[in-house]
Amino acid sequence: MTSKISRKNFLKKSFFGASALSVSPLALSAAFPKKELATLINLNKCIGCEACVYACQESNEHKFPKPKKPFPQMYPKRVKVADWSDKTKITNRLTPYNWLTIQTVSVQIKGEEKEINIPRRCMHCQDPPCVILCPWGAARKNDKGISRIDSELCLGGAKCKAVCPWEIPERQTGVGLYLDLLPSLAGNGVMYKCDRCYDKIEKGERPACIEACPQGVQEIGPREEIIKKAHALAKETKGYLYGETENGGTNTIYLSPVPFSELEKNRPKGKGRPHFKQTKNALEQGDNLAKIMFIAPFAGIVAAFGRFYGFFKKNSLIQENQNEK
Amino acid sequence: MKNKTNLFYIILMILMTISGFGQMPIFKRYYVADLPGLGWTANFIITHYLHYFGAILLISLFSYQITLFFITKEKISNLSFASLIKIFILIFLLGSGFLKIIINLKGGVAPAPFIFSLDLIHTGFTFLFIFYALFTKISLKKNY
Repeated sequence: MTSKISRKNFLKKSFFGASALSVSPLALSAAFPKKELATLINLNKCIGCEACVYACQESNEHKFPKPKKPFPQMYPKRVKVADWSDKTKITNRLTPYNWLTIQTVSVQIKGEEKEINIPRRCMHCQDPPCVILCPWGAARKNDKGISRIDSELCLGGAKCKAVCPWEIPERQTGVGLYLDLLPSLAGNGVMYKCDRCYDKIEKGERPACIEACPQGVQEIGPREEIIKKAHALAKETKGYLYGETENGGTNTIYLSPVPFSELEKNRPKGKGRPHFKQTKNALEQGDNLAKIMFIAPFAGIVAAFGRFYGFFKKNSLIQENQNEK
Repeated sequence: MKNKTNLFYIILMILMTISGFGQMPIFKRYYVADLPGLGWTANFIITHYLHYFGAILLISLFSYQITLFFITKEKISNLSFASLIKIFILIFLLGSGFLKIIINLKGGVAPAPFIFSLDLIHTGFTFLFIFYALFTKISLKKNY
């Protein structure tokens, strides 16, 4: 990680944040982007060469953690250290140093055994629980549909991993802002995951994994177009799609020649190896509650007027009764 | 009626504080979720929905009281200093929470510093509210 994590940076972010609050209408006008970008991963094409994996590592190396050792003693003792700094070459699972992994699955297609290679990384949900539920604002989604974790702000509490349906983010202890705050009592490092090369996309370039692929497995484009293309390809190849509706919709669409239940059954299992299960949006009721919340102030106002009117009416009746007497 | 409203506020603020702190990964770390009947405090989805539910009640109650205050033509000078401070803090708490909810709507995004500041303000004012409520309870022996 090349950027400096310090109190100064932290305060600077707060200051600029406070300035941003002063232009809140402007900030809110950006709340609803027009076009999210999605990727289509065609599993018919992937040969499992891992060119994407190494391109990702090379391209994002400057973002990888450089932990300070020894790690601070953490309390209580149940808090475990997550240290991947001596295992940076691992590629068969997701780690803070490996944001993209290939799962190889053997399946039967028309009676023939075939290997399907599946690049796995963050799905970049449309409604990302990691972003919505991050208590610290360290995880965020940009207008290109990318969710990423700010390594300067993340405290490594791993809530994002707990709420991610695919448990994608991975923690590295001994790095990040928590070291400057209460290293023994709060936080435990920084969470890392694919940021879909947001910095390259900002410059109009394609993510490293897409650029490096010799087979053209992945393509990126506006979500609507990618969805259309995915459906057309699925129809043409009698294939199956994953990611369009999972967790309320993601910006990563997989096209497979076999049902995803087959891939799920036979995929390598274990930590850092995401699943292919059907996944409902755990936060889908949030929007409904939010709508009720928008009505709540008016309900309060109506109730107050109701009470006032009732009180007024009651007083008038008492007054009338007294006058009659 | 006033006592009932105060009690309702206290219950709501306790609910909001617990569900709010539940947004941070601390209840599991510090064994709170291990206590019988408190396992739910470590479930971020449950605490998230509880926080939203409490916010609906809190916003309704707050707008009810503010409206009643104005239509009964009460004077601001009638309010104690402690109450004014608490109202001020509540406005920031509710306002920052409300903005966060808008950003959390499906498809919502906002500039990173804006979100970070909202979280900071929301958490900061929660601490302020707790400390001030305890302070007034202990030293001024007054409520709302």
